Amino acid sequence: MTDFFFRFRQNRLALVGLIVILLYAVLAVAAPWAAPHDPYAMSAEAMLAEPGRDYWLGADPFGRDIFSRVLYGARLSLMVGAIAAGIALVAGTIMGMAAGYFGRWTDAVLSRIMDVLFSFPDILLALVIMAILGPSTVNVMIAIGIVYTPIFARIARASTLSVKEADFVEAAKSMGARPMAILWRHILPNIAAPLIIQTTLSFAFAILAEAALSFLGLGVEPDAPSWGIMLNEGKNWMEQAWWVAVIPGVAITLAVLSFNVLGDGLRDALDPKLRSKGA
Amino acid sequence: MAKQETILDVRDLSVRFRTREGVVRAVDGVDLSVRKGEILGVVGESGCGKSVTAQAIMRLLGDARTEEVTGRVVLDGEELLTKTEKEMTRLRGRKLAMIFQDPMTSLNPVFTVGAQIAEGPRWHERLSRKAAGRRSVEMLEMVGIPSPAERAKQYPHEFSGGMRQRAVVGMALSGRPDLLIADEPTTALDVTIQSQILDLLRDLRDRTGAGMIFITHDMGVVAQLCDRVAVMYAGSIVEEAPVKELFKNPRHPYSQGLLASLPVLGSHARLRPIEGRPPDLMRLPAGCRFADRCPFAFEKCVQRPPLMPAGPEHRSACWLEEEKKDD
Amino acid sequence: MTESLLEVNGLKKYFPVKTGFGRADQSLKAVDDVSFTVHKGETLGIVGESGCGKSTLGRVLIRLLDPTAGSIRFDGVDLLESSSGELRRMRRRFQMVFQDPQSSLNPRMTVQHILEEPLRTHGIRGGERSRRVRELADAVGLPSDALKRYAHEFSGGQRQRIGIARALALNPEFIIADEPVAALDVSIQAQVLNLMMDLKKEFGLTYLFIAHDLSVVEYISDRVGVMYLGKLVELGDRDMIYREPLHPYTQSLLSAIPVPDPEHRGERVSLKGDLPNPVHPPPGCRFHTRCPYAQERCRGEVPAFREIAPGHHASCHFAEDIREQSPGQANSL
Repeated sequence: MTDFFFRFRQNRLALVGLIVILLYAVLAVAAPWAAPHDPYAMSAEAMLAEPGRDYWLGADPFGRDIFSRVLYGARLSLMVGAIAAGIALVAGTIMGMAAGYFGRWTDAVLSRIMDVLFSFPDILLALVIMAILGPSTVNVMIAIGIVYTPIFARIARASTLSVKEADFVEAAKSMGARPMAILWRHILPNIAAPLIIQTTLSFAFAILAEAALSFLGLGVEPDAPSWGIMLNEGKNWMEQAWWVAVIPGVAITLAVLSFNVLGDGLRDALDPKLRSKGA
Repeated sequence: MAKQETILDVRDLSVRFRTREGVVRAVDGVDLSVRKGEILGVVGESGCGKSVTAQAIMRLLGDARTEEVTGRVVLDGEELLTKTEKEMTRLRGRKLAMIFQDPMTSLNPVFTVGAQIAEGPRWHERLSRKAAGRRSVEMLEMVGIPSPAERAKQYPHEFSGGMRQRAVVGMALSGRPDLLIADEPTTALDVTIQSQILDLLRDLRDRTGAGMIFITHDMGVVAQLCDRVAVMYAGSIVEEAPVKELFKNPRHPYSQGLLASLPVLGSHARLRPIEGRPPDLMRLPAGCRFADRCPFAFEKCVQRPPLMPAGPEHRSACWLEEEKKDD
Repeated sequence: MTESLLEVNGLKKYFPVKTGFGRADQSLKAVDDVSFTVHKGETLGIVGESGCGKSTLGRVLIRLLDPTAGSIRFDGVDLLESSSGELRRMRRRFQMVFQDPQSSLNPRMTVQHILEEPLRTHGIRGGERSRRVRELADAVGLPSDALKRYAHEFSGGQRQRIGIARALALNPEFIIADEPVAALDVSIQAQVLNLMMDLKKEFGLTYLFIAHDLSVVEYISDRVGVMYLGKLVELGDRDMIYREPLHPYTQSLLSAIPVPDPEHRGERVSLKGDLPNPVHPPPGCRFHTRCPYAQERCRGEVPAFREIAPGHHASCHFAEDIREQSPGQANSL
């Protein structure tokens, strides 16, 4: 473990990513107190106000404060990201471990389902699920969770296949340990590293996917302060009021980038074997 | 035999690896020499530096940032450690060659065995494709592979483990090197196949007159194959003697312990293992490195003992030799 | 007569081998019709070269693999017929020590957890459990601060001590050890062999000791079985096997051992060629392709595994002749 922290600390970029994410998290939690305005309050006077003293990052076409909406948007994005990535992690890991450990028909059935899900482009699959479920925050989380489940299932299955051959698993079996105990105590801790890395990366994808779905109008409720909806609303006003689109765009980019560099840093630190020469 | 010409002379060879945790002194002041037609056994347990010594002689330790090789390695009058990589490439295969432990990974699966043996002579001696092909068949025949002409056209996976190791030996000898270094070449093989390979190596030594360094952990193999033995412990040679002398009259307490740890056929006496384990190569004691496991350790052992004469052609790095001389 | 603890009869383990297009499936006969008995309190050594099926045999006996045919009776109970609950209860009584002490210990667990696991699995908890863990560490000579550390912090020999302690956790009667010292240096190997012999005496254990090293097997065993290509070719008291081997394969194995004595130049019974492909073992006697004494009969007729001398079994048509020809073969060794 000390080795892990040592290697992680050496990666400056990943450390910056972590700090940015923590900053987002603090702002998201503190949004009700930190936001200078009500994110839903419209105001005719403030319509498309330029960034300034009253509206730090300007206001949107409905006169809502963009800074406040970005803060509440962080809340929404992180929540969607966390829960969607969580759904994918739990569902994918369970299915992947079951497929890898039990093999035979369990593996055949689960792997075919995952192959089918995998064969769709991510965003298309999410759109189809959203079209079926209808737009709402909860449904966005479910849809994104389903879309990213196969990645976790594949990682968990492949890792389980290699770990289950280890002698310590055979040793546990020969002592009469039950499959559940073996999966939980012996296999899961030994396949955790790649799953943790994938969770971080999926977090970034989930934020992006939520923004994309919302941008397309198939995401969260239309008045919710989602970065994707803000981007959509701003796109028509680019020439008159660039900040309406650019500010949420920057928020998305920064969040996704931070999660990605953090994920890369974690991979290098947790699994030195995968480390590339350039890192 | 004793007056044979020296082919390899190694003086004060040291290898240090720089790691994050500290400097590993893998090899520390090793002196060795090999004569023409002689098989020198280098024996020791894992981590004693025997393989690193071989790699240093072959100049296979290249990374100057993490590895530091000092000392002198003179092969047939030429200093190897100051050679450029290009010059070494010309020497490897022609003047000195190496056989590794795993015969599978030493052969490239996508080329025929014949093509791989021919590669060296084609490169070093600028032999034509045809002449090199003849050489590879000749080599396969020499290492005792039946119907060598057909076998040369086969791929490594079509060879069994023992045959593969024979082919690897043939490949190493294809450039007619003066020195052959074999690093645990029979460890991955079964005993019956091992005995075939040992017979082969002994026979080849007689026929080619090449000098050979045979690295192993197996005292039985040493006894059956080698002419002279160097025992290594924690990066240094602790004892050196002709093979019969070493087994009849082991002087260093580590060599004695090693022999007493060995189950011997026909004897059911309780084994006397060496207690404890070798020191950490990053935190070597200043004095004798075996002292903390040695049943005879005394005050003097806080100083590091050099190799001292212990008999005819027999040297041991133990202060007991000095005591005996004084008596 | 000594009491038998484990009785193995006609045991077979075949692995399916897929050939190309899934048709014409063949099988690798890793263990083929092996029968023997292990007596209470003895050490039965099983030797053979790689691919002879000795490790598969161990894994079938410990029930990590299902046999293709045959029976395994442990203390009178048929392990193949018993229910899973019954089998779990029986499991306490036979345990395994693995070859690679590195990979047989979970790298994410402390030694404490590793030793607790079998106890936890069999419902031993609380104070009794922690007392037992300390006892085990003591019994195998682990230092007192070892329990809180991870397995990878130990040297190979110490790790094998942990593996042995784990096998002893449930007070078993029978231990199957698969190459337990093959990965260790000689000086450490001797420590572990002596430890195993001491533990056997202390806890009244019975061992099945699987190894490729004939000297190690001779040192630790009371009786020895020799395997070749999935078959048991010879079985008998240690001294019979080593002094008066009746099977030509055993003879050649013994003569191939490099003896740590440069003065020794034993007569070699050298083997021709290599191990045949186990998917297509030779007909008749499986050893005939390499046997120096092979005759026409050996090519067609499978030799029976018979008792040639009291307590000494071998499967060779000419075992009697060999016995007469080389009385005291060991003397020339």
